[in-house]
Amino acid sequence: MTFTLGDVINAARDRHPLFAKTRIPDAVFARFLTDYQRELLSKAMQRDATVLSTTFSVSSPLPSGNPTGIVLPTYKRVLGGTVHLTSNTDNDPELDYPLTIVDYSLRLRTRAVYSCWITDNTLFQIGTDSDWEDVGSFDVQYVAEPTSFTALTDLFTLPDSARPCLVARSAYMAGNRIQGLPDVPKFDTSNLADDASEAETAWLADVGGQRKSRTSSVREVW
Amino acid sequence: MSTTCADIIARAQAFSSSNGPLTSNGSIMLSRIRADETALFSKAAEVNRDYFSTSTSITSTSGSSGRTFAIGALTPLVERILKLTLATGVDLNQVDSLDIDGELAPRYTTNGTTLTEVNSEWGATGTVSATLMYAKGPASIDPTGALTQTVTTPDEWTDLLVISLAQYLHHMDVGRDPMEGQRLQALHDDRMQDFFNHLAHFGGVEARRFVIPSPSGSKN
Repeated sequence: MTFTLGDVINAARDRHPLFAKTRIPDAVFARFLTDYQRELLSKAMQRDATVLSTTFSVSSPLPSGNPTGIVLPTYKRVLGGTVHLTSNTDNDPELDYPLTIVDYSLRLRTRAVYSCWITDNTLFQIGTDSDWEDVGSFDVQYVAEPTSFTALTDLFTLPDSARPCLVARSAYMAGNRIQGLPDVPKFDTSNLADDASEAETAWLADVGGQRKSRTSSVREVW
Repeated sequence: MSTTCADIIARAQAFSSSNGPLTSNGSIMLSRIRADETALFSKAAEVNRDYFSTSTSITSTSGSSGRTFAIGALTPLVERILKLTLATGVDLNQVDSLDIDGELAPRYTTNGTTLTEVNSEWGATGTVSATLMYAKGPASIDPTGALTQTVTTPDEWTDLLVISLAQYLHHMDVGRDPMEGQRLQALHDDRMQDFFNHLAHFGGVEARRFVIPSPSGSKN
Protein backbone atom coordinates (compact mmCIF):
# COMPACT_ATOMS: atom_id res chain seq x y z
CA MET A 1 0.00 0.00 0.00
CA THR A 2 2.79 2.38 -0.88
CA PHE A 3 1.54 3.37 -4.30
CA THR A 4 -0.84 6.17 -5.08
CA LEU A 5 -3.66 6.76 -7.51
CA GLY A 6 -1.30 9.01 -9.45
CA ASP A 7 1.28 6.19 -9.76
CA VAL A 8 -1.24 3.82 -11.31
CA ILE A 9 -2.71 6.41 -13.67
CA ASN A 10 0.76 7.44 -14.80
CA ALA A 11 1.76 3.87 -15.54
CA ALA A 12 -1.52 3.17 -17.35
CA ARG A 13 -0.98 6.21 -19.57
CA ASP A 14 2.42 4.81 -20.53
CA ARG A 15 0.68 1.94 -22.31
CA HIS A 16 -0.39 3.99 -25.34
CA PRO A 17 0.50 7.40 -26.86
CA LEU A 18 -3.19 8.23 -27.21
CA PHE A 19 -3.83 7.99 -23.46
CA ALA A 20 -3.29 11.72 -22.88
CA LYS A 21 -4.91 13.42 -19.93
CA THR A 22 -7.19 15.46 -22.18
CA ARG A 23 -8.71 12.28 -23.62
CA ILE A 24 -8.93 10.33 -20.38
CA PRO A 25 -9.03 12.74 -17.42
CA ASP A 26 -7.62 11.69 -14.06
CA ALA A 27 -11.14 11.84 -12.63
CA VAL A 28 -12.29 9.12 -15.04
CA PHE A 29 -9.42 6.89 -13.95
CA ALA A 30 -10.18 7.71 -10.30
CA ARG A 31 -13.81 6.61 -10.51
CA PHE A 32 -12.89 3.48 -12.47
CA LEU A 33 -10.14 2.51 -10.04
CA THR A 34 -12.40 3.12 -7.04
CA ASP A 35 -14.78 0.48 -8.38
CA TYR A 36 -12.10 -1.86 -9.69
CA GLN A 37 -10.17 -1.89 -6.43
CA ARG A 38 -13.35 -2.92 -4.58
CA GLU A 39 -14.09 -5.60 -7.16
CA LEU A 40 -10.54 -6.91 -7.02
CA LEU A 41 -10.59 -6.94 -3.23
CA SER A 42 -13.78 -9.02 -3.27
CA LYS A 43 -12.17 -11.50 -5.64
CA ALA A 44 -9.05 -11.68 -3.48
CA MET A 45 -11.16 -12.27 -0.35
CA GLN A 46 -12.62 -15.36 -1.98
CA ARG A 47 -9.10 -16.78 -2.02
CA ASP A 48 -7.74 -15.39 1.22
CA ALA A 49 -9.35 -12.64 3.25
CA THR A 50 -6.79 -12.55 6.02
CA VAL A 51 -3.94 -11.29 3.89
CA LEU A 52 -5.79 -8.00 3.42
CA SER A 53 -7.26 -7.66 6.88
CA THR A 54 -6.66 -4.98 9.45
CA THR A 55 -7.53 -4.42 13.11
CA PHE A 56 -9.93 -2.11 14.88
CA SER A 57 -9.42 -1.76 18.65
CA VAL A 58 -11.85 -0.64 21.33
CA SER A 59 -10.78 0.19 24.90
CA SER A 60 -12.58 -0.94 28.06
CA PRO A 61 -16.12 -1.18 26.71
CA LEU A 62 -19.05 -2.08 28.96
CA PRO A 63 -22.40 -2.99 27.39
CA SER A 64 -24.30 -0.49 29.54
CA GLY A 65 -21.96 2.23 28.33
CA ASN A 66 -22.66 1.39 24.70
CA PRO A 67 -26.44 0.97 24.37
CA THR A 68 -26.32 2.08 20.76
CA GLY A 69 -23.40 -0.21 19.96
CA ILE A 70 -19.92 0.46 18.72
CA VAL A 71 -19.64 1.83 15.21
CA LEU A 72 -17.06 -0.06 13.19
CA PRO A 73 -15.06 1.28 10.26
CA THR A 74 -16.68 0.58 6.89
CA TYR A 75 -15.82 -3.00 6.07
CA LYS A 76 -16.31 -5.66 3.47
CA ARG A 77 -16.14 -8.51 5.96
CA VAL A 78 -15.48 -9.02 9.67
CA LEU A 79 -13.19 -11.98 10.22
CA GLY A 80 -13.27 -12.25 14.01
CA GLY A 81 -11.85 -10.64 17.07
CA THR A 82 -9.81 -10.98 20.22
CA VAL A 83 -10.74 -9.99 23.78
CA HIS A 84 -7.91 -8.83 26.03
CA LEU A 85 -8.45 -9.30 29.78
CA THR A 86 -6.94 -6.97 32.32
CA SER A 87 -5.84 -9.81 34.62
CA ASN A 88 -5.86 -13.57 34.78
CA THR A 89 -6.57 -16.07 37.55
CA ASP A 90 -5.24 -19.50 38.47
CA ASN A 91 -8.34 -21.04 36.95
CA ASP A 92 -8.19 -18.84 33.93
CA PRO A 93 -4.55 -18.38 32.96
CA GLU A 94 -5.14 -16.85 29.55
CA LEU A 95 -5.25 -13.12 28.95
CA ASP A 96 -6.60 -13.29 25.39
CA TYR A 97 -9.84 -14.91 24.29
CA PRO A 98 -11.63 -15.08 20.97
CA LEU A 99 -14.46 -12.62 20.44
CA THR A 100 -17.42 -14.71 19.32
CA ILE A 101 -19.62 -13.10 16.70
CA VAL A 102 -23.12 -14.56 16.49
CA ASP A 103 -26.11 -13.96 14.27
CA TYR A 104 -28.75 -11.53 15.37
CA SER A 105 -31.20 -14.42 15.79
CA LEU A 106 -28.87 -16.15 18.27
CA ARG A 107 -27.98 -13.14 20.36
CA LEU A 108 -30.21 -14.18 23.29
CA ARG A 109 -29.28 -17.87 23.25
CA THR A 110 -25.54 -17.90 22.89
CA ARG A 111 -23.55 -19.37 25.75
CA ALA A 112 -20.22 -18.12 24.49
CA VAL A 113 -18.45 -15.65 26.71
CA TYR A 114 -17.29 -12.41 25.15
CA SER A 115 -19.74 -12.56 22.29
CA CYS A 116 -21.36 -9.94 20.13
CA TRP A 117 -23.55 -9.44 17.12
CA ILE A 118 -23.09 -6.97 14.30
CA THR A 119 -25.63 -5.15 12.23
CA ASP A 120 -25.46 -2.10 10.00
CA ASN A 121 -21.76 -1.60 10.68
CA THR A 122 -22.43 -1.53 14.44
CA LEU A 123 -21.20 -4.02 17.03
CA PHE A 124 -23.38 -4.87 20.07
CA GLN A 125 -21.88 -6.69 23.01
CA ILE A 126 -23.91 -9.58 24.45
CA GLY A 127 -24.28 -10.01 28.18
CA THR A 128 -24.15 -7.76 31.19
CA ASP A 129 -21.50 -5.42 32.46
CA SER A 130 -20.24 -8.10 34.83
CA ASP A 131 -19.55 -10.39 31.85
CA TRP A 132 -17.23 -7.75 30.42
CA GLU A 133 -15.77 -6.16 33.55
CA ASP A 134 -12.44 -7.99 33.23
CA VAL A 135 -12.06 -6.92 29.63
CA GLY A 136 -9.54 -4.15 29.06
CA SER A 137 -10.07 -3.97 25.34
CA PHE A 138 -10.98 -6.02 22.32
CA ASP A 139 -9.93 -6.05 18.69
CA VAL A 140 -12.01 -6.71 15.64
CA GLN A 141 -10.20 -8.12 12.62
CA TYR A 142 -11.81 -7.01 9.39
CA VAL A 143 -11.28 -6.32 5.72
CA ALA A 144 -11.83 -2.63 5.10
CA GLU A 145 -13.95 -1.30 2.26
CA PRO A 146 -11.63 0.94 0.24
CA THR A 147 -12.64 4.58 0.17
CA SER A 148 -13.30 6.49 -3.04
CA PHE A 149 -10.34 8.17 -4.71
CA THR A 150 -10.49 11.95 -4.71
CA ALA A 151 -6.84 12.96 -5.18
CA LEU A 152 -3.82 11.67 -7.04
CA THR A 153 -1.98 11.28 -3.73
CA ASP A 154 -4.56 8.84 -2.32
CA LEU A 155 -3.05 5.47 -1.43
CA PHE A 156 -4.41 2.11 -2.57
CA THR A 157 -5.73 -0.36 -0.01
CA LEU A 158 -4.48 -3.29 -2.06
CA PRO A 159 -0.89 -4.48 -1.55
CA ASP A 160 1.94 -3.49 -3.86
CA SER A 161 1.74 -6.82 -5.66
CA ALA A 162 -1.64 -5.76 -7.12
CA ARG A 163 -0.18 -2.76 -8.94
CA PRO A 164 0.44 -4.44 -12.33
CA CYS A 165 -3.12 -5.69 -12.22
CA LEU A 166 -4.55 -2.22 -11.60
CA VAL A 167 -2.37 -0.67 -14.28
CA ALA A 168 -3.26 -3.23 -16.94
CA ARG A 169 -7.01 -3.01 -16.29
CA SER A 170 -6.88 0.79 -16.30
CA ALA A 171 -5.11 0.75 -19.66
CA TYR A 172 -7.79 -1.55 -21.05
CA MET A 173 -10.50 0.80 -19.78
CA ALA A 174 -8.67 3.74 -21.38
CA GLY A 175 -8.40 1.93 -24.70
CA ASN A 176 -12.11 1.22 -24.74
CA ARG A 177 -12.96 4.74 -23.69
CA ILE A 178 -11.20 6.55 -26.53
CA GLN A 179 -12.48 4.26 -29.28
CA GLY A 180 -14.57 6.30 -31.68
CA LEU A 181 -13.28 9.74 -30.68
CA PRO A 182 -13.00 11.98 -33.76
CA ASP A 183 -9.23 12.42 -33.54
CA VAL A 184 -8.42 8.82 -32.64
CA PRO A 185 -7.72 6.14 -35.24
CA LYS A 186 -9.39 2.83 -34.55
CA PHE A 187 -7.02 0.44 -32.85
CA ASP A 188 -7.16 -3.07 -31.48
CA THR A 189 -7.64 -3.28 -27.71
CA SER A 190 -7.48 -7.07 -27.56
CA ASN A 191 -3.85 -7.02 -26.42
CA LEU A 192 -4.79 -4.65 -23.59
CA ALA A 193 -7.64 -6.99 -22.65
CA ASP A 194 -5.24 -9.95 -22.62
CA ASP A 195 -2.75 -8.07 -20.46
CA ALA A 196 -5.47 -7.12 -17.99
CA SER A 197 -6.81 -10.64 -17.78
CA GLU A 198 -3.37 -12.19 -17.35
CA ALA A 199 -2.34 -9.71 -14.69
CA GLU A 200 -5.51 -10.27 -12.68
CA THR A 201 -5.24 -14.05 -12.91
CA ALA A 202 -1.60 -13.95 -11.85
CA TRP A 203 -2.24 -11.72 -8.85
CA LEU A 204 -5.24 -13.72 -7.62
CA ALA A 205 -3.19 -16.91 -7.94
CA ASP A 206 -0.50 -15.19 -5.90
CA VAL A 207 -3.03 -14.33 -3.18
CA GLY A 208 -4.32 -17.90 -3.12
CA GLY A 209 -0.79 -19.27 -3.02
CA GLN A 210 0.04 -17.38 0.16
CA ARG A 211 -2.79 -19.14 1.95
CA LYS A 212 -1.57 -22.57 0.87
CA SER A 213 1.79 -21.96 2.46
CA ARG A 214 0.25 -21.68 5.93
CA THR A 215 0.03 -24.58 8.38
CA SER A 216 -3.46 -25.47 9.55
CA SER A 217 -4.83 -28.02 11.96
CA VAL A 218 -8.24 -29.55 12.60
CA ARG A 219 -9.51 -29.30 16.14
CA GLU A 220 -11.94 -31.72 17.64
CA VAL A 221 -15.26 -30.30 18.65
CA TRP A 222 -17.75 -31.75 21.09
CA MET B 1 11.16 43.58 -32.44
CA SER B 2 12.20 47.02 -33.60
CA THR B 3 9.85 47.15 -36.56
CA THR B 4 7.30 49.93 -36.24
CA CYS B 5 3.87 50.14 -37.79
CA ALA B 6 5.19 52.96 -39.95
CA ASP B 7 7.80 50.53 -41.32
CA ILE B 8 5.08 48.00 -42.15
CA ILE B 9 3.00 50.63 -43.94
CA ALA B 10 5.98 51.96 -45.91
CA ARG B 11 6.93 48.47 -47.08
CA ALA B 12 3.35 47.65 -48.03
CA GLN B 13 3.18 50.86 -50.05
CA ALA B 14 6.20 49.68 -51.98
CA PHE B 15 4.26 46.76 -53.46
CA SER B 16 2.43 49.11 -55.80
CA SER B 17 2.86 52.70 -56.92
CA SER B 18 -0.91 53.07 -56.42
CA ASN B 19 -0.74 52.23 -52.72
CA GLY B 20 0.49 55.58 -51.44
CA PRO B 21 -2.81 57.48 -51.20
CA LEU B 22 -4.56 54.47 -49.65
CA THR B 23 -2.52 54.60 -46.46
CA SER B 24 -3.35 58.12 -45.38
CA ASN B 25 -5.73 57.04 -42.61
CA GLY B 26 -3.38 55.88 -39.87
CA SER B 27 -6.16 54.51 -37.70
CA ILE B 28 -7.29 52.11 -40.42
CA MET B 29 -3.71 51.01 -41.06
CA LEU B 30 -3.03 50.38 -37.37
CA SER B 31 -6.28 48.52 -37.02
CA ARG B 32 -5.39 46.25 -39.96
CA ILE B 33 -1.90 45.56 -38.66
CA ARG B 34 -3.34 44.70 -35.25
CA ALA B 35 -5.83 42.27 -36.78
CA ASP B 36 -3.21 40.59 -38.95
CA GLU B 37 -0.74 40.27 -36.10
CA THR B 38 -3.37 38.84 -33.75
CA ALA B 39 -4.29 36.24 -36.37
CA LEU B 40 -0.60 35.42 -36.88
CA PHE B 41 -0.06 34.73 -33.17
CA SER B 42 -3.24 32.63 -33.00
CA LYS B 43 -1.95 30.51 -35.85
CA ALA B 44 1.49 30.24 -34.27
CA ALA B 45 -0.02 29.05 -30.98
CA GLU B 46 -1.82 26.32 -32.88
CA VAL B 47 1.27 25.13 -34.77
CA ASN B 48 3.76 25.38 -31.90
CA ARG B 49 2.35 26.34 -28.51
CA ASP B 50 5.82 26.72 -27.01
CA TYR B 51 7.31 29.16 -29.52
CA PHE B 52 5.63 32.22 -28.03
CA SER B 53 5.09 30.77 -24.56
CA THR B 54 5.74 32.64 -21.37
CA SER B 55 4.70 32.46 -17.73
CA THR B 56 3.69 34.91 -15.08
CA SER B 57 2.59 34.96 -11.47
CA ILE B 58 -1.05 35.84 -10.83
CA THR B 59 -3.07 36.43 -7.67
CA SER B 60 -6.70 35.54 -7.14
CA THR B 61 -9.50 37.49 -5.57
CA SER B 62 -10.00 36.90 -1.87
CA GLY B 63 -12.58 34.58 -0.33
CA SER B 64 -13.12 30.96 0.51
CA SER B 65 -14.83 29.77 -2.65
CA GLY B 66 -15.51 30.84 -6.20
CA ARG B 67 -12.33 32.91 -6.31
CA THR B 68 -11.17 34.19 -9.68
CA PHE B 69 -8.06 35.05 -11.65
CA ALA B 70 -8.52 37.88 -14.15
CA ILE B 71 -6.20 37.21 -17.08
CA GLY B 72 -7.68 39.53 -19.71
CA ALA B 73 -5.20 42.33 -19.11
CA LEU B 74 -2.00 40.40 -18.53
CA THR B 75 1.15 41.58 -20.26
CA PRO B 76 1.85 39.96 -22.65
CA LEU B 77 -1.74 39.10 -23.55
CA VAL B 78 -2.93 35.51 -23.28
CA GLU B 79 -3.51 33.67 -26.54
CA ARG B 80 -3.71 30.11 -25.20
CA ILE B 81 -3.59 28.85 -21.62
CA LEU B 82 -1.11 26.00 -21.24
CA LYS B 83 -0.88 25.31 -17.52
CA LEU B 84 -1.92 26.87 -14.23
CA THR B 85 -0.03 25.83 -11.13
CA LEU B 86 -0.76 26.90 -7.56
CA ALA B 87 2.10 28.23 -5.44
CA THR B 88 1.94 24.90 -3.58
CA GLY B 89 3.06 23.16 -6.77
CA VAL B 90 -0.30 21.58 -7.50
CA ASP B 91 -1.62 21.92 -11.04
CA LEU B 92 -5.15 23.25 -11.40
CA ASN B 93 -7.39 21.28 -13.73
CA GLN B 94 -9.50 23.18 -16.23
CA VAL B 95 -13.02 21.78 -16.54
CA ASP B 96 -16.06 22.66 -18.56
CA SER B 97 -18.66 24.51 -16.52
CA LEU B 98 -21.23 21.99 -17.82
CA ASP B 99 -19.07 19.04 -16.78
CA ILE B 100 -17.18 19.92 -13.63
CA ASP B 101 -16.81 16.23 -12.74
CA GLY B 102 -14.50 15.88 -15.72
CA GLU B 103 -11.45 16.22 -13.50
CA LEU B 104 -10.26 15.91 -9.94
CA ALA B 105 -9.91 18.88 -7.60
CA PRO B 106 -8.48 21.49 -7.59
CA ARG B 107 -10.35 22.77 -10.63
CA TYR B 108 -11.32 25.96 -12.44
CA THR B 109 -13.63 26.98 -15.25
CA THR B 110 -13.05 29.69 -17.83
CA ASN B 111 -15.64 32.44 -18.06
CA GLY B 112 -14.58 34.92 -20.69
CA THR B 113 -11.11 35.99 -19.63
CA THR B 114 -11.69 35.03 -16.01
CA LEU B 115 -10.67 31.75 -14.42
CA THR B 116 -13.12 30.74 -11.69
CA GLU B 117 -12.56 28.34 -8.81
CA VAL B 118 -14.88 25.33 -8.60
CA ASN B 119 -16.33 25.11 -5.08
CA SER B 120 -13.55 25.86 -2.58
CA GLU B 121 -10.66 23.83 -3.94
CA TRP B 122 -7.78 26.30 -4.23
CA GLY B 123 -6.75 26.20 -0.59
CA ALA B 124 -7.22 28.18 2.58
CA THR B 125 -9.42 31.25 2.73
CA GLY B 126 -7.86 34.40 1.30
CA THR B 127 -6.05 35.11 -1.91
CA VAL B 128 -4.01 32.43 -3.65
CA SER B 129 -1.03 32.78 -5.95
CA ALA B 130 -0.44 30.74 -9.06
CA THR B 131 1.86 30.58 -12.05
CA LEU B 132 0.17 30.78 -15.43
CA MET B 133 2.06 29.32 -18.37
CA TYR B 134 0.59 30.43 -21.66
CA ALA B 135 1.15 31.07 -25.33
CA LYS B 136 1.22 34.81 -25.60
CA GLY B 137 -0.52 37.06 -28.06
CA PRO B 138 0.99 40.22 -29.54
CA ALA B 139 1.08 43.46 -27.60
CA SER B 140 -2.08 45.30 -28.52
CA ILE B 141 -1.63 48.09 -31.04
CA ASP B 142 -3.69 51.19 -30.29
CA PRO B 143 -5.54 52.24 -33.50
CA THR B 144 -5.71 55.81 -32.19
CA GLY B 145 -2.03 55.85 -31.30
CA ALA B 146 1.12 56.80 -33.16
CA LEU B 147 2.53 54.98 -36.17
CA THR B 148 5.75 54.57 -34.21
CA GLN B 149 4.23 51.75 -32.17
CA THR B 150 6.30 48.61 -32.62
CA VAL B 151 4.89 45.23 -33.58
CA THR B 152 5.55 42.10 -31.49
CA THR B 153 6.27 39.84 -34.44
CA PRO B 154 9.98 38.99 -34.70
CA ASP B 155 11.70 41.22 -37.26
CA GLU B 156 12.55 38.33 -39.57
CA TRP B 157 8.84 37.54 -40.00
CA THR B 158 7.37 41.04 -40.20
CA ASP B 159 7.05 40.72 -43.98
CA LEU B 160 4.01 38.52 -43.24
CA LEU B 161 2.36 41.66 -41.87
CA VAL B 162 3.65 43.69 -44.79
CA ILE B 163 2.21 41.31 -47.41
CA SER B 164 -1.09 41.08 -45.55
CA LEU B 165 -1.37 44.85 -45.52
CA ALA B 166 -0.47 45.00 -49.23
CA GLN B 167 -3.28 42.50 -49.88
CA TYR B 168 -5.65 44.76 -47.96
CA LEU B 169 -4.60 47.76 -49.99
CA HIS B 170 -5.13 45.77 -53.17
CA HIS B 171 -8.69 44.90 -52.11
CA MET B 172 -9.35 48.52 -51.11
CA ASP B 173 -8.55 49.74 -54.60
CA VAL B 174 -11.39 48.27 -56.62
CA GLY B 175 -10.56 47.59 -60.25
CA ARG B 176 -6.95 46.57 -59.91
CA ASP B 177 -5.56 43.68 -61.92
CA PRO B 178 -6.71 40.46 -60.24
CA MET B 179 -3.36 38.91 -61.09
CA GLU B 180 -1.73 41.23 -58.58
CA GLY B 181 -4.04 39.90 -55.89
CA GLN B 182 -3.20 36.32 -56.80
CA ARG B 183 0.49 37.08 -56.77
CA LEU B 184 0.25 38.64 -53.31
CA GLN B 185 -1.73 35.66 -52.05
CA ALA B 186 0.87 33.22 -53.39
CA LEU B 187 3.64 35.28 -51.85
CA HIS B 188 1.85 35.32 -48.51
CA ASP B 189 1.16 31.57 -48.60
CA ASP B 190 4.82 30.82 -49.36
CA ARG B 191 6.08 33.05 -46.59
CA MET B 192 3.52 31.70 -44.14
CA GLN B 193 4.66 28.16 -44.97
CA ASP B 194 8.23 29.23 -44.25
CA PHE B 195 7.07 30.55 -40.89
CA PHE B 196 5.22 27.33 -40.06
CA ASN B 197 8.29 25.32 -41.00
CA HIS B 198 10.37 27.47 -38.69
CA LEU B 199 7.85 26.97 -35.86
CA ALA B 200 7.85 23.22 -36.41
CA HIS B 201 11.63 22.92 -36.65
CA PHE B 202 12.71 25.33 -33.98
CA GLY B 203 12.38 23.12 -30.92
CA GLY B 204 13.71 20.00 -32.61
CA VAL B 205 12.16 16.67 -31.76
CA GLU B 206 11.19 16.29 -28.12
CA ALA B 207 10.59 13.07 -26.21
CA ARG B 208 6.87 12.67 -25.81
CA ARG B 209 4.59 10.10 -24.30
CA PHE B 210 1.41 11.32 -25.88
CA VAL B 211 -0.25 12.63 -28.97
CA ILE B 212 -1.83 15.63 -27.25
CA PRO B 213 -4.92 17.09 -28.90
CA SER B 214 -4.91 20.77 -29.90
CA PRO B 215 -7.76 23.10 -28.92
CA SER B 216 -9.24 23.25 -32.40
CA GLY B 217 -12.84 23.06 -33.49
CA SER B 218 -15.89 24.38 -31.73
CA LYS B 219 -16.66 23.99 -28.06
CA ASN B 220 -20.13 22.61 -28.42
